[in-house]
Amino acid sequence: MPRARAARQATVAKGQVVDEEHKTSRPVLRMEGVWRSFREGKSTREVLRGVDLTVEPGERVVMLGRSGCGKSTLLNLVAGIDLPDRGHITVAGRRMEILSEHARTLLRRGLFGFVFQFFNLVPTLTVEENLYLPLELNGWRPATARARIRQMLQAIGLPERGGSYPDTLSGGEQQRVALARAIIHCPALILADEPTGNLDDDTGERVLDLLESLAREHGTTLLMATHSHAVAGRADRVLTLRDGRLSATPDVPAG
Amino acid sequence: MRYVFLAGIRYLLRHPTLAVLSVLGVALGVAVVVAVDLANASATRAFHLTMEGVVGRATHQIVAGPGGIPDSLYRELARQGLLPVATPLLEGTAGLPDGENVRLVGIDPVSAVPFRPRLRAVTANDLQAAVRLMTEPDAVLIEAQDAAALGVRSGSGVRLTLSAGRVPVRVLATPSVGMTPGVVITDIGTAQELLHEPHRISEIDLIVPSGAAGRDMLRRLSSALLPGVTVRAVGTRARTMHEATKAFRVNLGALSLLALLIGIFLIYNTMTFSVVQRRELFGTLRGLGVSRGQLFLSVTLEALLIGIVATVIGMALGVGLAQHLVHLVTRTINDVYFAVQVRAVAPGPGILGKAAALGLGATVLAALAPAVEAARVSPRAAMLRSSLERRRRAFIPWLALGGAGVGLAGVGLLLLPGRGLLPAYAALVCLVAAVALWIPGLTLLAVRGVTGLLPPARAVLVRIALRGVTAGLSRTSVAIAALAVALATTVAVGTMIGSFRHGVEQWLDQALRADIFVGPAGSSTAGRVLPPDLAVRVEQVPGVARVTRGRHVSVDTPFGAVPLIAYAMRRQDFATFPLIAGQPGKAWTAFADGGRTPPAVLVSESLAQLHHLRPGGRIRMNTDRGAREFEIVGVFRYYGSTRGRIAMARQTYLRYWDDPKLSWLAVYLSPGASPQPVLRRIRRLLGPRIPFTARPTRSVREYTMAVFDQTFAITAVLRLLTLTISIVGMISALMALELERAREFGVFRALGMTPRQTVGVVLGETAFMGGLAGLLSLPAGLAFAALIVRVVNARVFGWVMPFRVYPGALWQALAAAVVAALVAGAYPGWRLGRIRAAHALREE
Repeated sequence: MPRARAARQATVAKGQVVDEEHKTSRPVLRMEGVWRSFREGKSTREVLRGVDLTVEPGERVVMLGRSGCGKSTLLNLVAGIDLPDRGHITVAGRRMEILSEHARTLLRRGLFGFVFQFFNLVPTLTVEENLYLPLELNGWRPATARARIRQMLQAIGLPERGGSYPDTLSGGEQQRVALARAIIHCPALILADEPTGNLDDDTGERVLDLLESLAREHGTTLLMATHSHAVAGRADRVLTLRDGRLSATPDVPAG
Repeated sequence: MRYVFLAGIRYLLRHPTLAVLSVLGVALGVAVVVAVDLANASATRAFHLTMEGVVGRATHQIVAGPGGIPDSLYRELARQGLLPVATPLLEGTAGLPDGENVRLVGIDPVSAVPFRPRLRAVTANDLQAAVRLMTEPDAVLIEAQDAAALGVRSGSGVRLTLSAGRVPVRVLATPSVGMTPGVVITDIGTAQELLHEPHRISEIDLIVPSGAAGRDMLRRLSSALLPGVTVRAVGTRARTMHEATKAFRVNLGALSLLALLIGIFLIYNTMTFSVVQRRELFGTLRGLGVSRGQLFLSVTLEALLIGIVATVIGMALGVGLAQHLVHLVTRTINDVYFAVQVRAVAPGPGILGKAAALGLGATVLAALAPAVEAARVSPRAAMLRSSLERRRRAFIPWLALGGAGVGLAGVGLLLLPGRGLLPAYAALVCLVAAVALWIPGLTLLAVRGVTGLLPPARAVLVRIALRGVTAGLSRTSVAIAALAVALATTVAVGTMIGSFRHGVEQWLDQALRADIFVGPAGSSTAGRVLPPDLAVRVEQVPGVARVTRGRHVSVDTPFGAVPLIAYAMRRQDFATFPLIAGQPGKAWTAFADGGRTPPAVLVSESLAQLHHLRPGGRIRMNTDRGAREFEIVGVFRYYGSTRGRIAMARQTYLRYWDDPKLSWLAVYLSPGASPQPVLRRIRRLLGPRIPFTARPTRSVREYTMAVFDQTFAITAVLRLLTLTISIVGMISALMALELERAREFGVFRALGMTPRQTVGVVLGETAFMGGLAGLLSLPAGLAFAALIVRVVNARVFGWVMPFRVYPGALWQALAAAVVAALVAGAYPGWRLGRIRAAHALREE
């Protein structure tokens, strides 16, 4: 493993988050003229129609839109899970649409963290093992990884639950673990798809607080999709996805 | 990667029933393969050991026809200096008190040393023992294992069953070195007395040097031999006899591989279920950055773990099963081919290695498709909850097309010229694959058809049951295919056996026309001869109209040693040869003419098929007068042996061989004569000590059919095992499907469906699957049967058997299908009936 990478990991594990890569003037994400459509039977539905989006490092961006408007599709395109019909997507200086599937996978494991609506923890791994998974994929050394996991469990308020399986946790606890998993490897960008969609209001508030604090602490950029205006109030910038187009939302003030 | 794999293994551990069923299925398949391989290998090894025990280190043998070689020839050749390293041998068959048959071998203890050096410890070095073997008239050596089985030791007496009756001998020693089980050794002079072969020996064993010196020696030797006496390499005889059993062993092996194939279905079903269940999880992992290759490897490793556990268990089970199967195999070989004795099976690294490769290979093969499926899961699957089945259903027409292609390929293989077994078995595999590929489409059509018959908006529970079959079509169709193939095999083998049995019964009706049969008692009758004057004395018994005499020997032909029967019979008895080629009238005239040139013979169907013989052709045989050509005047049906038969008139036989002995008599009674008094008088003539019996032909027929039935006993065992594996597969598939639909059934329960109704839905679903498998197995089974009877068996045995369909066997298969499916559905149905709706309806 390159020395610089190992040193960076050790620094992160000690709680000193230094992410020089993220401290750059280059946008984390740039989408230019992105189109995406899907065949539904004999007709074609255009989900995204010429979307332009730029996200700066450290920004908290919320995308509003009703269910089925294409928010998840946009997040998938950003993560390289899906490919646009037209347009360019650049993440941390890399053009996603021209990379092979394998290259996008490798990029995804290092650059992104995911938070899903339904938590999507691995049910047959303990909390600790779920947190270890992204670290293993990114080649962290075991000792450094263990220290990092302890740190994250402390940060999410579950220091004693490392050995528990997800089905023994409440919904809020599971989503906190999912947040930790999304950020533990210091990604450049967290993509959160309806992170509080499956939680009650109070729990959702606490989860959002945690998400914000972890992102701020690590300097991680946040792109969140939601249909809740209350959630949107916490963002630096709020956009609305309607009829396949993305626009600033004047009614919801940014946080 | 470690945690991806760990997550998969823990998933299997959380579903122990499924994992256990998969392990069980593959373990049973591996066990059957190991057991059959071991049984075959043990019998083969026993045969080679027996051969080695008989010929030792000899490189060549001087042999003659059935009458053997005069021992004066040995002395003359030795006097001429043509036998630098040679030893005489007299060989026969003897029965032990425990019913086993052994080779009785008479040797010259001094000249035999170079051929059996390890016997030196008993004979040449121990002069007293060698002298005793030569001088004591009834001294024998019995191998240590045989002695232990008989409970005898040095100095004990034991009775051997020979042609002359039960003869007492004394055990001189029971060596464990230098002898092989199944061989009793005595001095050659003693053997001549015991076997009633004065001044005759069976062969002269030689050790011929290699190279020019050896070739020169053989040339000089051949020119000095009498007509009808030849010198041949030792391997020839062993090869011929080994080839004779090849077909039997190959058929068993094919049946065992089918069992493993069914086991493959199990692994496929389990892994597919686990992949479908974890689709969202795989999508999450892909979203986190796990690559396709890593997911593929993880799923494959999970399957490999199941395979390793299953293979180890299967090998242990197989060794245990082999202990029972080997007796069935050797009993068949003894009854049908030659004497062989196996006292224990010894698994060697070759067989276990093959089992390991098959078990692991089968597992990996079965897991390939599910592993590819897992690797193809898009990260979007983490966000979507749509069903996979709709996408898979689009493949059904392609599967059907593929099935048609594979079926046509099978037909093409059958049309290839030649009699190879490999194309025939490959065609059978193509047919099995075609059936499996058509089943998803046929299942869909069947469900739609039955659903269409239901009254609209009613019979909702029936619709739910039917929908359950198509909801998991990628899994239910595999379970239906596995059960259908297993049942089709049962139908096919049952039809084949039934057709064969019918053919044998018809043949026996024609061939066994005499009223009483006087022949050797027990099995493995080679070498037994009747007392010289018995035929004449039987003819004089009141009530006897005439007696057909028969001599059963083995003659040397270009095809190797072939059994020959010489008959002294009358015109009206010629109908015992059901001719399938040649004109009966002309054939009889030629057959009966003992002075004809060329002399006439009949050949059996299998010999004709295998060596392309037909009426008008010639067959060359080594006789006591030298090599002679005989004209084939007819081909007759003969199911008594796969090695084929040559039949000739006794007059013709005596013209070319100096062998006046008889092997059996067929007695025809005068009209109105009662068989019982005649039987009693013939049995009095035989006496209690002579190992021959007089039986009414009805009992001969019954005995023959009993031998036939026990020959196929092993097939019945293998069929049962194959069916068991497919039932295990069905249970596994249904368990997986029902667990997958737990939430759906939770909704049903929440809506008011009672537990009994839930069980009814599940059983209805499984009964439909079983019934469909049963129905599909019938035409498939009959097609397999036609292929086996008309092509495989014809190429293997050279027989063309009648093809008969037995409605009883078809109904049995249908009933077995439904019962199997209901049994398979009982446990999943019970579990779903007890489901707690609240628990099942929870999101995660």
